[in-house]
Amino acid sequence: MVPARQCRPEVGMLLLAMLLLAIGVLVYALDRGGAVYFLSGWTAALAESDLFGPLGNHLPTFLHTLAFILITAAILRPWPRQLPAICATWFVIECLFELGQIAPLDARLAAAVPAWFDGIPVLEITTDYFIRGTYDPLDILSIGLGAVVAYPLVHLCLQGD
Amino acid sequence: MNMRSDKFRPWRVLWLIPIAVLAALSIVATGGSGGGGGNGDDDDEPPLVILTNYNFFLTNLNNGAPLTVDVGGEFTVTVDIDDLFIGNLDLNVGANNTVTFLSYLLRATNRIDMTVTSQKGSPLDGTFAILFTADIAAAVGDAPTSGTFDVVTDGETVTVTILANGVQLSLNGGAAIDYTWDEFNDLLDDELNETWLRRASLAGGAIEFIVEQFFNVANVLDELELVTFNNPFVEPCDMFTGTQPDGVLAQGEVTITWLGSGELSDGDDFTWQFAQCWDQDDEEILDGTVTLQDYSEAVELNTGILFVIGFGGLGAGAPGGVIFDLTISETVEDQGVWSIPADGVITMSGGFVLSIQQP
Repeated sequence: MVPARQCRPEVGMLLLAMLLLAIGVLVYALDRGGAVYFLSGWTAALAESDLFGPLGNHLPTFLHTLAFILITAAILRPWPRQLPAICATWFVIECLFELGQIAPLDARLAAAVPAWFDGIPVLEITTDYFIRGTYDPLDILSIGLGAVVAYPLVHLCLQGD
Repeated sequence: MNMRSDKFRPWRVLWLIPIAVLAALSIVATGGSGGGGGNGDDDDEPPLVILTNYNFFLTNLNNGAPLTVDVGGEFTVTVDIDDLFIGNLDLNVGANNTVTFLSYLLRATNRIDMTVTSQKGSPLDGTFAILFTADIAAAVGDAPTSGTFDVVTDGETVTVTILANGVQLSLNGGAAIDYTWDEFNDLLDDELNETWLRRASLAGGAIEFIVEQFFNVANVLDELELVTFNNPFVEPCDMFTGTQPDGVLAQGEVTITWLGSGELSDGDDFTWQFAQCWDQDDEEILDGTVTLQDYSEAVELNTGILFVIGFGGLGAGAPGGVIFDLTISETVEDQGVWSIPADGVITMSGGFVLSIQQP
C-alpha cells in the first residue's frame, strides 16, 4: 500500500505551477485589459489597472518558464539529476518562441504556418503571434531568470526526497 | 524503510508530450491582440507613429496565382515569388504622417522563378530562377547601385553584378562584360543577342517590374484613410498633350472604392480602378482593376508605432492580397499625335500578398 504523503512533492510543485500560471493570467486580465487571444470575450468589461506596474511587462514570460519547469520536474520525479537539463530545455523552448518574433524570421515562420491551422482555436493565431508579437530582449532575460529561479525552487520542493 | 517509492516510472515521460503542447499553445495564445507575444502594454491610444525604416514582404496569393504578364499576346511571363520575397525600406515621414519612400534593399536569399512561354517559340521559352546572392540597394526611382543576382537555368549560370552605373555580366564564371543600364535593358529586345544575355536582361526587367508594382501599392496605402472619408475617391489622370490614341479618352480617371463600412479596419477590401488613365511621366495608359483584399494594420498600443500594414496574410493559405486585372499600354508621340504600338500592350493578372513590418 502506498502512503498518501508519497505524492506531496509532486502535488506541491503542480499546485505552485498552477498558482504561477494564474498570476500570469491576472497580469493579462488586469494590466493589459484582457487584450490577448485566450481572454478575448472574457474580460471585455474589465477596466485596465496597473496592479503589477512595469513588472507586468515581463512577468508572464518569467512565470511561464518557471511554471513549466515545475510541472516537468513534478512529472519526472525522482530524477533530480535531470533538473539542469529540464531548466535548460525550457529556457531554449521559451527563447525560440520569443526569437521567432524577430523580423524577418517572423515572416518566414508565419509563411510556413500550414493552412489547416486556420479556424482551429489557438492555432489560428499562430501567424499573428509571430507577426504582431514584438521581440524584446528583456523577455529573454525574464525567461532566463525563470529558469535560474526554478532550480533552487524545485530543490526546495523536493527537500527530504 | 522508506515507504516512498523512488523508482521512476518511464511511462510518465509520455506526459511531457501534452505538457509541451500545452506550453506552446499557451505561449501562442498570448498573441493575437494588441502588443501580443508576452510583452507590451495596452495603455491609452497614443498618436500614430510611422518609423523611418520598415521591412517588406511579398508572398504568392492564397490561390497560388502568381503574377503573370502577357506581352502583346506574343509571350507570357510568369513571376513566381518563391514563398517569400524580402526587402527593406527607408522612408521620410512628413507632416500628417505623409510618407515618402527614399530607398530600398532587396535581400540576398530572395528567389524568383520565372516561366516564359511564347506563341511563336523563342529561345527564351522555359523556366529559370533568379537567385539574389547579395542585397540589392537602390534609391526609389533610380537604378540600383549595388547587389548581385544569378540567373540560373539547366547548366547555365549568369552572374549579374550591379555597379554604380550599370551591370557586369558573367556566364558560368567566365570573363565579365560591362553594360550601362540602358544597354542592359536593351539586350532583351535584340534577337541577335545571345540567349543568356537576353535572359539576364529579362530577369533584371522582372525585378524592376516587381519593385515598381510594390511601390505603386505601397504609395496608395497612404491614401486609404482619406478614401474612407470620401468614398469612392475619384481622381482625374493626366490629360493627353495633343491628340490621344484612337478610342482612348483624352483624360481618364482613377477611382479607389472602399468596400467596408464604419471605420477602416482589418479585413477591409478596396478596388482601385483605372479608366484609361494616362500617366504622362511613364507615357503609359492604365486600364483595369487592382483589387486590394484583406487590409491589415497593427499598431503597438503603448507606443502608437505602426508595426504592420499591408494586404493579405503571410501564413500559408491566408486570404487576401493585391490582385491585378490590368492592362498597361505604352504610348508614343509623333508630331502631337499619340498612338499605342501593337507590341506595347501588356496585361497583368495574378498578384501577391504585401506586408510592411517594423524591423
